[in-house]
Amino acid sequence: MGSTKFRFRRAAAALSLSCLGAAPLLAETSPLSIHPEGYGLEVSGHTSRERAMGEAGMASINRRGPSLYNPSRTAWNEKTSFAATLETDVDWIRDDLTSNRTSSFVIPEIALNFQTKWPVNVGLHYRQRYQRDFSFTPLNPSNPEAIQSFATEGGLYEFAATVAYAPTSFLALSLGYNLMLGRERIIESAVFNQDPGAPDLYNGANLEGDTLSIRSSGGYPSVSATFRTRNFSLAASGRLDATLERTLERSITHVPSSQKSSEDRDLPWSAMVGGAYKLKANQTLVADFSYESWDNRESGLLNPAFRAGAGYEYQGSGGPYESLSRKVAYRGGLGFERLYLNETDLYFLTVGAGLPLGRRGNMLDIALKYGHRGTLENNLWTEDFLKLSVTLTGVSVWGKPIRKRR
Amino acid sequence: MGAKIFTAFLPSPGAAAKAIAVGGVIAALSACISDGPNRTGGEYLSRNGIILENPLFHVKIPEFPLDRFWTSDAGSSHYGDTILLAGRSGNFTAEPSMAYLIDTTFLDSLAAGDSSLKLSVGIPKPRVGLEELKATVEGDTAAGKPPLESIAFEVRSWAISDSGINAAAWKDTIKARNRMFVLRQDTLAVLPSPAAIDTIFLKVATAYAADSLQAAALPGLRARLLQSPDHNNLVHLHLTPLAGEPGDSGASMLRLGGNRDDKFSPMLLFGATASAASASAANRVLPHLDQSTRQINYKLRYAGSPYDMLSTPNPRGLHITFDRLRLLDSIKAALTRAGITPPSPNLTGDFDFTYFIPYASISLPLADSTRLEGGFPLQMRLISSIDTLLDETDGSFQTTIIPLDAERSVFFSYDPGDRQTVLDTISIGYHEVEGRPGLRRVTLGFSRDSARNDTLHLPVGENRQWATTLIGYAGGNRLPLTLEAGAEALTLTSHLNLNSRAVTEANEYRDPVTGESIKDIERRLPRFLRPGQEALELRATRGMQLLLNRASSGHEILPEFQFQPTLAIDSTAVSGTGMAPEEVPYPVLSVISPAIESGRLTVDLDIYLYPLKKR
Repeated sequence: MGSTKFRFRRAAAALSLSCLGAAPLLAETSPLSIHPEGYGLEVSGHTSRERAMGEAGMASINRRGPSLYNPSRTAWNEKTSFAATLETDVDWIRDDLTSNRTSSFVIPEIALNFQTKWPVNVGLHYRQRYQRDFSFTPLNPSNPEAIQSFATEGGLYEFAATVAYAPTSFLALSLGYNLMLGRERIIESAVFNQDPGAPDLYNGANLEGDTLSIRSSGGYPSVSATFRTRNFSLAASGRLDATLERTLERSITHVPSSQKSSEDRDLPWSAMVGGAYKLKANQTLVADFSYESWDNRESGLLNPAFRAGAGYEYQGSGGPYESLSRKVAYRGGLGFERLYLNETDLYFLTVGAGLPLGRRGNMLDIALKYGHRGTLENNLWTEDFLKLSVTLTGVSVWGKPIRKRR
Repeated sequence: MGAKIFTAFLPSPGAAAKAIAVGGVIAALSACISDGPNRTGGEYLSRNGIILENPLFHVKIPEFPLDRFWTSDAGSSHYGDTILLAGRSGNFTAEPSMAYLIDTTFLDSLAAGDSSLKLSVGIPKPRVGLEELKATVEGDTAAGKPPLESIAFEVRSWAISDSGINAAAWKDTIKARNRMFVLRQDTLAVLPSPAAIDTIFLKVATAYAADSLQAAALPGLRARLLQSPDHNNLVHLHLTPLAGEPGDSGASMLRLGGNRDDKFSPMLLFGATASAASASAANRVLPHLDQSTRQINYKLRYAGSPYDMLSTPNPRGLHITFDRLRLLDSIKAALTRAGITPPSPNLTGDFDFTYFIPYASISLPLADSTRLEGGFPLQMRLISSIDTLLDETDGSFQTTIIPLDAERSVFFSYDPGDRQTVLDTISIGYHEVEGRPGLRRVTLGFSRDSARNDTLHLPVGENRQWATTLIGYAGGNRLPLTLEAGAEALTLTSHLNLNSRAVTEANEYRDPVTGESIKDIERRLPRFLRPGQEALELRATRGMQLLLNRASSGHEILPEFQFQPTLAIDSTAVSGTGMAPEEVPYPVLSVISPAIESGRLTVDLDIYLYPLKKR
């Protein structure tokens, strides 16, 4: 029996690894990723705990783990922590003619928060902020002599350093600097030699790729503050706008060298507020609202974006020696988001759980999100997706003073 | 310490394994659910201008005038070729040269009274293209043109003995004279007076009836060699076909055996030997063997139009260039006529990504004077290249006048990484030749490598093309110089085609049923140039891409197209048991003449354009 269990685990691990490896190759998400005017789709910067509560909870203080949206709350962390989040989703894209089921995989965040002996926390964060992940090849090309296809990949990646300080027991502040690095490619290709009835083009050259590669960099400061009482807490954060210096390199098939140019492009400022209210000692209500000031002057495609979310958490009260089911935290939430591209609306529902791992305070948070965006009437497509995210948080007393017996 | 810190973050191994297994399985399930390439959202992409509604334009531009056109030979030497051409045919003249090293043993055999010295040549019978070769010597009785019996050659001989020369000096002498007489085939005007001049007749009427050997006596050379019978002699021969009767022209070009089979090599026969067939190693001398190459060569001249393409062993190609802006205007006009609003091309910067060219072809009109020898279909190719030009040029033709007894630095090549550093300077000098008033000496000098220096002699009033290469430019760069010798000055024209990044346009077509490339000759024959064809159409896709996607064309780069003959095919050749077309194994002297009218040449263009977005 034991060996059967072992074989099952080994098979599961092999399947997991192979599919995880294959996932990025299969990754195809929203058609919104294709627009060069934007940066792709934003990946949530929340850990799976907040994701499970309607992507809200910036003001909810849990004394462990990171918070990129509100680093100030980490000033009250009890221990140094390390957190990594994995995200995978399945999308059902549909239009008037056909539908397609695709999947994607990203590692949206890795963070390390050092807690000092003072109420000061230093955080280092990596986050994939925007993701381009879409490809398209027509089922029935309108012109069989020129079959166009499109692909986009890469995204904007964010590296942040934050310092959080709680001067009093009810107020915490933070300051951070966020560095953005972008690596994006937008590839357009066309196949001309598929029609034997067109003998010239049948012997012609295909456009393997009209490829625009974009490298960008820039940075901005961010601030956040949290006010807490016994029953509720409030938080606010803001990020200044940034100018990204972009280097564009364009190459097309059979042209031996590339066209290079550079430009500046703005990334807008954003603000976020949130609140958390404790219904009971182990039950919390949370709500967040964020706004991003996307400017539609340069492109009619861009629009100001906002997101509202609310959620609930039930924290199991079991002691360290009780069964896991009594210790699990259960979460749920919902939200609405207007994306910054094409005024696309997104509605979503979330559920999740937090599983304590061991007795040290390590956690495994899981969130499942169902979302729906786009309309067949206006945008000509809809997208339903199921997104699973998992955050593993480990904690340690490293950096904290240890009282030794004499 | 660091490792300890991070291991402290991790949960117990068992819990971590469970977490990873759960997460992994869930992720795996989602990752494995995929329909494959996405096909949804096309209408959305169309409305946002990402999918092009009209993704392909097709324009035909008839009689588009060329900006420039010129010809260049792939090379002038036929040193060590397997077949030696000798004789005249139409505007072609072929003059073979060979070298022989004769030791005293052979000279002893000349002393006998009935002995002779003969030049033996072999004419191997080709398996492919034989009937066409026979036809060249059969004459045309209906037209009152009888078969040509034989053609006459004047055989100039130069001989030098090793008398008074040590072994090392003799070796150097052999090398130097082989280079002068055979490899370089210096013009007769600058060679020393021949030691002997003989006249021989080579039979052509029965030349190709079978593998044949014929020998003709060289009494003049025999007499010269008997003057120094006690020394080794180095002998060079140069055969010049004598002008025959007017009716002879066009039917007297022999294909002699060359550096392939000793049996058919041109050899000297000593003593009473009647023919090469009965000769032994004791009384025959094969052409001197230097580094495994028999010292034989021939000079092929063409007296026709300088714009004719020639399918000689070193083919002559026709280069053409376009005025890019004029072409863009023509494309724009053609699209407008078709009711299409053309995108605006980028006229600044290095690149122009207005269009991608999936297919283009150029049709070159041919003149009636085009002659395909033997009626053999000819495979043609089109070579497209970007020419990286020298900084001193404006990307066009350069003409330099060099006065008599002067030297000019005419070209510089630069370090690509440092445009201030001159890598090489090429200079051309023009001088009188003492005692030869009608002759001029042209010198080519390289500042970096004097071993590449060269000299040639030109009679006043004659033209010559001289191909060289430049240091500092990668690839097969070639700098053809056209020299026109005047009494008081040399006119030097450079075409500046340093064939950089040259690409041969694909010449294979796909089978519409299987999709595979058609490789066998028989199915490719319909696309070869055939007798009576009024135009030569070749694919020019890559070249048009280079031309249209580089906006700075015409200044630092000059995209050009070169039409070049390659293979002549005997479409009725016998191969094994069946009939199958095969490459003709001997030099076929075809002439492909572009239809030039009043010095102007136009081509028909067929271009497909895929509009690219501004990005």
